[in-house]
Amino acid sequence: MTTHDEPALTPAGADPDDARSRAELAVLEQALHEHFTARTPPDLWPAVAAQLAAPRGLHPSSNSTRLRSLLGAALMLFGLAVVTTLLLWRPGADGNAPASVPQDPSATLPSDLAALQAELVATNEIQVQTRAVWSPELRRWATLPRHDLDALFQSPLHPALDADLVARIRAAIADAKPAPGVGGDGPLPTWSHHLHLFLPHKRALLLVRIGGDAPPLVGFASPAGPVLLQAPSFPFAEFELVATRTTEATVVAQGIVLGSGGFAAVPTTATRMRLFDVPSTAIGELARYPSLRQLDLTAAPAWHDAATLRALASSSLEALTVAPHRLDSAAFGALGQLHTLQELFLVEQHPVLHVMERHATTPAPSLDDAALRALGDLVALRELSLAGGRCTDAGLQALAALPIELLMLVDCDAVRGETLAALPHVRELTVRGGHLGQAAAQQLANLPKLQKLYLFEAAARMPLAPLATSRSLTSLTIAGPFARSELPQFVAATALRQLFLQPTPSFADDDLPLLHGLRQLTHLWLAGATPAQRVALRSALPNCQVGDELW
Amino acid sequence: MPDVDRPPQNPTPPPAPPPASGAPFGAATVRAHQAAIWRYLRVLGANDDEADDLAQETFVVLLRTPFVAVADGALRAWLRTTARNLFLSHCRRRRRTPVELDAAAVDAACDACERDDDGAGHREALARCLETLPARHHELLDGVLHEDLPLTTLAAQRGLGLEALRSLLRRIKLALRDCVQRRLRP
Repeated sequence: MTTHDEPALTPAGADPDDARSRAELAVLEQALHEHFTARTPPDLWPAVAAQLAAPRGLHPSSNSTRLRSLLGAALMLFGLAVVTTLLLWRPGADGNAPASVPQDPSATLPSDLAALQAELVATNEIQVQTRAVWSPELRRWATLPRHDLDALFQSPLHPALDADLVARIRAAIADAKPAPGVGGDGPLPTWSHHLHLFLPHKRALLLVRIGGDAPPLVGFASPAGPVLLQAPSFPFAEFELVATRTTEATVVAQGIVLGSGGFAAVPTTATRMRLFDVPSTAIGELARYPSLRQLDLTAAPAWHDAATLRALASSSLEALTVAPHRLDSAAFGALGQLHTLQELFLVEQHPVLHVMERHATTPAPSLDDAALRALGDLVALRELSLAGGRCTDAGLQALAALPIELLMLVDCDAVRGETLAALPHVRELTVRGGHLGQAAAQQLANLPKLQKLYLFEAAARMPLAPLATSRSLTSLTIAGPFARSELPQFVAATALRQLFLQPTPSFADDDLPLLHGLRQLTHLWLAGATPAQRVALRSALPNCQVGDELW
Repeated sequence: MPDVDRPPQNPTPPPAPPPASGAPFGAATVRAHQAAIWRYLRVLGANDDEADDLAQETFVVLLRTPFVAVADGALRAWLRTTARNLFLSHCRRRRRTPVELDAAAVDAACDACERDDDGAGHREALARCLETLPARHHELLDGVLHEDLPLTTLAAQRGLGLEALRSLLRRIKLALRDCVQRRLRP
């Protein structure tokens, strides 16, 4: 043993008490603990696999549970991601609706090409995701995700590019320049693929359009919007192989049908389908899909007529999404004959876009009380979403016999909420807009199973104090100009555990004591709160998780 | 210290091959990183059971999150950040104040420990250094770390005041740290 190997003791105060030293000692203490206790890291995979396989409270084949989960996920990102979502797309040349880019709250996009190039150097991994599919039959692009949060709950369709292709892309971007003469107010191209580069606190997104009848393009996402690039050495030909495979897999997994010929790309075992501009004459094709349970017709206007919808009655559909403004009264009558339906979404856009990102609703004049009465025979209906209708409380009352558990009302301005107690099975209710008054609040308080209530915009103006008497309400979300002075009343809401608030205007420091009595809360999200305000709330509510992060 | 008394120095499964393209994360990824993340959580202040739970949760988050970079260095950083966030949330829920450690300094210290052998060299160096420790110091560490005796008991057994015992322990740890660093120096 040499002298220098012996651990000579030094005076306790001799070591500088700096961050590095403390960290090194923490590492040493862990190693000592492992040495003396023989406690070693376990094999986590069996437990991880079991947890992944366990149900997460979702019905695996259910569209509605997925949509509800998306709303929940969006709420988790409240104020961080969704509210600050960067809209990278102006309306595309093909007229597709604007799409947003999914946000990682802890990530920032590169501000310019130089920043992008620096980030490309730092990663060897790029994953590709199909965003739009070109239809030769329709001569247009079909944008696939209805909302970016969709990707959170989809099976992995995001293969990683191989190292050679990554290197070539990196080299091409290193030599790229911003394309001159673009970036004005004109329409931007539809991007067919996203190339994701994720780093712990940064991310970058390359945008590619490949396919169709125009030359391929490449760009990148910046905080100010997409930036088109001149990248003459970009390996479009090699990338196209991966892009094509990814697109084919995505079309199969999501049941994307583009035009009448699009059925050929979807296997007959499909359980879900989304139609794009499919003529109604092709309805006979559905007979080849005995397992089909979920159908989205919002991008297939021709399938909104009564005769076509009536023909769906021979299927075993459990979930149907249609654009209500395309339906007439006869069409609602046809919907009422689809007795196997468990979930009916009368919404033009994704619910999260409606309620969280405040997308406008197209008025649906035929969605009136008579239309709701026509749905009164859907005896299996558990979930119903209505957007833009003229229906009233009387129409909702006509649904009293149905086992509706999840109800969403978006811009149904004639609803006063005075008959909501007639729907005793409702456990989740989402309302955007409308004119809910004192009677509505009392009705909600008397709903025996109501657990989650989401109030957005005008709906947030309803009197809140009666809700505090609810014995079932566990989660309350309010976004809009609500009466903050009524919040202390919720001290009596003994079941309430989660409170998500996006007040308009934001809370001032003087408002915080309004929340101090709510000691039953386990989760509190206050959008717009400053770090100092969150610290103050944590101090006042020590048993409550005051949200400022994803978890 | 006789060899038979020492715990196995490399008990964790060997690193798995890199994940296949198109199926970025799975058992291989978990097993390649689980020991490092478990130890990282312990360094942050988690006890054994907490480290088990939070490391497991970290990988569940990973496997449920699309678009995480799979470059090894980036993935390790992502896992550490996720584990740290989960640990801090865990502390908040339990109204517990975690030991204040600089995240960058912890990362650097863990990197120095793990090197390219998952920390096996560090553990071996520590074992060698412990062999050179005076018996009374070794017994003291054993009392604290293995027998989990209260410091007051250990202080009384040695006729020391509590502060004097704490000071001695700190000096032992500093000496061991320096010894390990000397042994690991190229």
